[in-house]
Amino acid sequence: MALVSCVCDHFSFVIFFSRRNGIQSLNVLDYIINALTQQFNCMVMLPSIFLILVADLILSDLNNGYAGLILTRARSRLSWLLAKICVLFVCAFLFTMICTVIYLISGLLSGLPLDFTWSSHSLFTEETSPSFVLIMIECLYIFGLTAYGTFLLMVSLILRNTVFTWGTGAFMNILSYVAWLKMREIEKWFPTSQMMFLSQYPNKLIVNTPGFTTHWSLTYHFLLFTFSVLLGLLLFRRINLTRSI
Amino acid sequence: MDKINNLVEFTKVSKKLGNKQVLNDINLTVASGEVVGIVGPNGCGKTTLLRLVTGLIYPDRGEVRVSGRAVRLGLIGELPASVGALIESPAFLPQLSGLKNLTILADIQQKINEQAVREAIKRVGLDPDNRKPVKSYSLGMRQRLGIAQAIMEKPNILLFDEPTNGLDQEGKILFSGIMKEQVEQGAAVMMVSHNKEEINRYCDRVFMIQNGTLHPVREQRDKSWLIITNNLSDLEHIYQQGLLLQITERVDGYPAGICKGKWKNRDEMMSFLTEIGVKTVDVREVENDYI
Ligand SMILES: Nc1ncnc2c1ncn2[C@@H]1O[C@H](COP(=O)(O)OP(=O)(O)OP(=O)(O)O)[C@@H](O)[C@H]1O
Ligand SMILES: [Mg+2]
Repeated sequence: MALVSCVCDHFSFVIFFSRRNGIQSLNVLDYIINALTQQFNCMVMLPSIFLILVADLILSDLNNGYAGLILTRARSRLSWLLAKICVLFVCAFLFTMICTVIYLISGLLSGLPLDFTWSSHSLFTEETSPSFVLIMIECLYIFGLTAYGTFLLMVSLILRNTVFTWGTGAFMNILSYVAWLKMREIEKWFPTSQMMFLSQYPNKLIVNTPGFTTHWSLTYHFLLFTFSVLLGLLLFRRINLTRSI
Repeated sequence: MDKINNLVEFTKVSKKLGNKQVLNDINLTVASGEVVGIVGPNGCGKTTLLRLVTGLIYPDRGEVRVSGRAVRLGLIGELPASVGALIESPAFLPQLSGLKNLTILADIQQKINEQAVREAIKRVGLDPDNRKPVKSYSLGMRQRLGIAQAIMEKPNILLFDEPTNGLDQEGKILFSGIMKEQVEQGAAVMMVSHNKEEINRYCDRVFMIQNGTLHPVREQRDKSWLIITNNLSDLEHIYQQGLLLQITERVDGYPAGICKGKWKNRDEMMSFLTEIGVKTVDVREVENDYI
């Protein structure tokens, strides 16, 4: 519920930033794809909103004492951590879906036809169907937000502060964006760049990063996720699960 | 056998929080059916001691054993089983009802069904069918829900951190009934309280934390004795010895009073009374009044 209301709060914001300069969407599907691959929206806006929602996933439980109620019943700390990561995955899934639905609605409201033909092929390779492109984008979002979110949960365990955690996330998002604008060749090393389907080879951007493919992104997510879980486990089995100071 | 009987065992436990050495070289055992009280000034580490039992924090040095198993991080951060705890003010999910909150918690272990959760809620004098969210609960209601949460899965070990905080008279009576019941069922209870009277009533042994170390305050439970005398002046004489004495109703027409103290058995009590020159009609050990 909190997730839904938060997303709605940011609704107007999202729409504002989702208009890609200069490209005219001809139908709703186009509109959604454009919105989800708009560079600022994709690399800074949406991940930051997501982080606001999940940054205190662990810390709030520790700070208000709810963790105590859970942990006296859980078998190990690991199981609690894994449960949190599952929650994070569900959040990432819902968040992506809700974003898509918001764009769908706003696209329909602005009078675009509900049509599955392809009008953005100037940007994507002709042979990929639009629904495939959309599915790829959604997958990148869901896995990306899960992996990135897990990473930041671990950061939150180190920093023990929600605001600093979110700040770290926002800073990295902006770094991704700056890399996209100025240093396209190192873009593929930043976390939220991975969600930017458009810049991945073989999509037709004027500047492409060599070796930056969807496959690369999925691997990147997987490694980031594994690394975060391992790091989290190492930290989590030792730390004092009390209120942070 | 002895090992199993001791449900909680601290051996040379030290714990540092932040840069404060909160606990230092703590040794303590709590047996089944025993209530141990922990007292001490604010910030001396009482809550920390209870947290060590739950595994929310691990000791820096020494060992905490719960139900015979050491609480240590292991590979996956193991946590002891069968511990019911009410530590500081409990936090529930504010937008859900009390019943929903507790069923969510019960679902983690799946030891008990909803019926048992309802019973636990009734036991603390709340209505399980109250659909109001917990955020609308008063302090005392939350505390009651916290107690229900701690006892609902019938744990072997109970940790109570200021359990009667915010409870009204009825709540306190309910709580003492719960304590009695839990002790009879063989639970080991550790209780932190700032209320002297409460500590005296419930606890078999009392310890004080001072500068991080544990000092015994009382090593055994005071027993209550009903002393029946020929005349009131004898009772008065006992009172003048500086003992806790409460005059009660006459027994068979003789004046009587209840005295609390450390005497182990009737003989010891009798010889004490003879020593101070009190003639008695009868002396009986009585149940500590729980109310
Ligand atoms: N997370 C933490 N980080 C650093 N220091 C802490 C932390 N939690 C507690 N402390 C310190 O440990 C000491 C013991 O705290 P604890 O909560 O055990 O006290 P307490 O005896 O329960 O006090 P009270 O009577 O107020 O409940 C305090 O001095 C506190 O400042
Ligand atoms: Mg305390």
